[in-house]
Amino acid sequence: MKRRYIVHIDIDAFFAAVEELLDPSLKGKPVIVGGLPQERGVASTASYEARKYGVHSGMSLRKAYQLCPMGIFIRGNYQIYQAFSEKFFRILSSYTPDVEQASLDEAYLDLTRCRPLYASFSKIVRQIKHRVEKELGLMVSAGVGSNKLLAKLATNKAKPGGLFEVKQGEEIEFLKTLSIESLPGIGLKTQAILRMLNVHKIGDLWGFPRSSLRSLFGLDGEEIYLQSRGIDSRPVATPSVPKSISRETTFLEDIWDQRLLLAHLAYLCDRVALSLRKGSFFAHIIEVKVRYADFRTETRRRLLIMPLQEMGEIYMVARELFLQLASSSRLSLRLIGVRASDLTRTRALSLFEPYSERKERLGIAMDQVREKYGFGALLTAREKMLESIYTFDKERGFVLKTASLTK
Amino acid sequence: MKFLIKKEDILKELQLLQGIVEKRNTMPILANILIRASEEELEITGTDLEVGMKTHFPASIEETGSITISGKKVFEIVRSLRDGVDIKFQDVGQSKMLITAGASEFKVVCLPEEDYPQIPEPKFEKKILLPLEKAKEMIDRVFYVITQEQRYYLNGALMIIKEGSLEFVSTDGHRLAYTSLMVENMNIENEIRGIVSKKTLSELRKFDDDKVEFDLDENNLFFKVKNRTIVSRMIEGKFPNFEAVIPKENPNTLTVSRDELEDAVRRVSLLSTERSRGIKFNLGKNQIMLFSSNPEIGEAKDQVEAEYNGDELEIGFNSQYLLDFLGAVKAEKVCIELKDENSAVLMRPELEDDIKYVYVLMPMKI
Repeated sequence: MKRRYIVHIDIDAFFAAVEELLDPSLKGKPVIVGGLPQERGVASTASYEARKYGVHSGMSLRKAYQLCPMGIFIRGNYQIYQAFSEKFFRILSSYTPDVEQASLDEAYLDLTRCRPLYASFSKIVRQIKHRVEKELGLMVSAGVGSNKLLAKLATNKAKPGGLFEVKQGEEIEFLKTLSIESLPGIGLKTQAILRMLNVHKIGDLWGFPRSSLRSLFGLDGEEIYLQSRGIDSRPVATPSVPKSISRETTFLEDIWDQRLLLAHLAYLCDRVALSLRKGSFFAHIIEVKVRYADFRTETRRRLLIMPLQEMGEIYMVARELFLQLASSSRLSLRLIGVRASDLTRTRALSLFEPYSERKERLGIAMDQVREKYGFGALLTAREKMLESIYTFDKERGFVLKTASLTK
Repeated sequence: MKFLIKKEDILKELQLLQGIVEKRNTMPILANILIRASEEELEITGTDLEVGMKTHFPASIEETGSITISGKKVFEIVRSLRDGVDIKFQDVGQSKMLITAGASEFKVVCLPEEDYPQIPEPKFEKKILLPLEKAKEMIDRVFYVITQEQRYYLNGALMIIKEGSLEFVSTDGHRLAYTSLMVENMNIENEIRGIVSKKTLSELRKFDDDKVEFDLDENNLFFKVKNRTIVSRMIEGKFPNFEAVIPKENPNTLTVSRDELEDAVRRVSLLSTERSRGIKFNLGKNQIMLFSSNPEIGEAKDQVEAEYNGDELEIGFNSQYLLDFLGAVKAEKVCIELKDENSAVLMRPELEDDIKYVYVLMPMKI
C-alpha cells in the first residue's frame, strides 16, 4: 500500500482557550471549564496553568478544586465552542475533503489524495496550522505520520503549540522511548500488568511475541502488538449522512409559562431548520421532547407525508406535539427539545397539502441575510421573547444553556 | 361433535381462513377457527375482529356440536394427509379434538365456543349484486396504492356504489388510483360509500364466481360469494376529497408505449437512491429523457420516444410509483397529462376498456 500522509490537529485546551480569548484577563491563570467548584460534574477542559496543579479533563470539579483552589471555574458556553469548532473544520475542509471530526477540537486529515495539489506536504501543514491559529486566535498542535496512530502520537509530542512529523524510517526511533500509556490500547489495568513485567517504554514491548500478548490480554493484546510497532490501518473517516438533527436546551430555571416555552420551541425549530437547509435535508419525522421538573422525560412524534425543511412548518407541527404533551401535565419544564429525523434529500410532494416554492425560497433568503448580518439579524417576534432571559448575540442569536451539539 | 369429510371438501375452506385468522399473538382465541356442526352442514368461522369469514358446506355429520381449534394446525394437518382420504373429526371431551385418517391420528387442544367473538350477521336484504370478476380487476388496480405504514392514514380503499356505477379509490397521500365501472340495474336508492380494508380486498381477490352479493349495516360491510361470506368492519375516518385532486385540465399530454417506458424507468431507477427512489424526466419534443443519480453509486440516463408537443419540462418522480402504475395497466400505450414540476400528474391508459382507470401522482422535488 502507498504510504499515507495523515495529519492530526488539535486545539490546545480548547474551551479554556476560548474563554481566555473572550476575557483576556484570564490569560496566564488556571482556568477550569465545566462548572463551579460546588457543582456536580467534571472538568471538561483545564488550561495549561491549571494542569500544572494536576487538574485534567474528566476530573470531578470537587477534586479539581481541592488541587487548585485558586483556579477560575467557568460553566462554559457550549454554543460558542460549537461556533469555533465549526469554523475550525471549515478551514480544514478547504485543504482536503478527507477530514475526520474526532471531537469538537480534534481532527484527522488525510492529504494522500491531494498529492498533486501540494508541492510540499510539510509546508502545507505549517500553513494549515498557521491559518487556524490566525483565524481562530487559538493555539493548535499538529502531528504528522503515515497513519492515525503515529499522527496522534506526534501531536502529543508537539504539545503545546508545536508541530512534529514522524518521517519515513524514523518510526522505530520515535516509538521506542515513548511511555506505554501513550498507546490508546493500553488502559490503566493493562498498564499495571505491563509495569509489573518491567515494561515501561513502547520499545520494551517489542520483545514480546504476538502470542504472548494475546494470551495475556486477549484481542487487546493483538492490538497492542500492532500499535507498539506503529501499525494502524484505520482509514480517516469522513462524516456520513446524519440520521437526525436535534436541538434541545435545559432552562436556567424551570419554566411554567407556556408562551415562553413556545418561544424556546420556536427558536430551536429555527436552529433545526437552519441545519436541515445547510445539509439540504428534508425531515419525515418531527419529534418534541420535554423534561418535567420531576425529571420525567416524554417525547411525541409525528410522521409526515410531505417531508419538511421550513422553520414555520416545523414549528407548527412541533407546537401541536408540544401542546399534546403539555395538556397531560401541570408541572413546569426543565428541558425542551426538537428533533428532525428520517432525513432525505428529495421531497415527495403530497396530494392533499398545498405546496408552494415560496416558503422554500424564503428559507434560502433568510439564510443569505443571516450569512451577511449574523443569525440574530432575523428572528420571529415569538423568538424575540427570549430576550428577557438570555444574552443576545447578533452573530449567533441567543446564548442558550447547553445547546445540544448532537447531529 | 363428530363428522366425516373428504380432504378436498374442507381443504380449500381452511386455506381461505388462513388469510383471516389473527397472526399476531394479541388474543390467542383469534388464532382459532370456530367449527359448528348442525344436522345438515358444517359451518366454519374465522376472524381477527376487523375482518371475519364464514363458510358452510355439507359433511356427513354423526353428532352435532361446536368447538374452536387452531386454524393453522387444522389446516396443516389436513393438507398433510393423503389426497382423497376421508377425515374424521371428533370432539373427545376434555377440550380435545381427535382428527383421524387411516392410521394417522392427531389430538388437538380446543377452546369452547363461548369464548369466541360474535360475528355480525348479515341480512342481504338489499339484493345488491356486483360483478365479481370485474370487481377483482378493479381491486388489482387500486390495491398497490394502499399502504400499511403508520404514516398514512388509510389502510383501505373507498368503495362507491351508486345507480349505474361501481368505483374504487385508494391513496397514500402521494398518489391516488381511481377506477370505475358502469353497472346496470343495481337498485341503489342512496349512494353507498365505505372504506374497505386492505385485508378484505385481498380476500375478495381469492374468490371465484360471476357475482358477489353486497350488503352493509352501520359498522360493517358484507360480501357473499357462493357459500362464503366476508364481514368487514368499515374503516372509520373520512376519506379525503379525492375528486378535488384529480387534475382536470393539465395542458401537456404525452403518449408513450407502456412497455418501453416501464423498461426505461426500471433501468434508470437502478441508480436512484434507495430511500426516495427518485428519478427525473426531461420532456422535450417527442421524447422523454430519464435521469437518476446517487452520490454513493453513480448516475444513469435513458431515452424513450413519445408523442409530445407540450412545454419543455423537468419533473421528478418516485420511480416505484411509476412502476406500480405501469405494471397494473394493461393498455399498449399510456397517456401522461402534466401541468408543471410542482403539480399533480394524471396518468391513464390511452384506450379505455370498460373499466375506467386514472392514476394521479404528485411529483418529487429532486
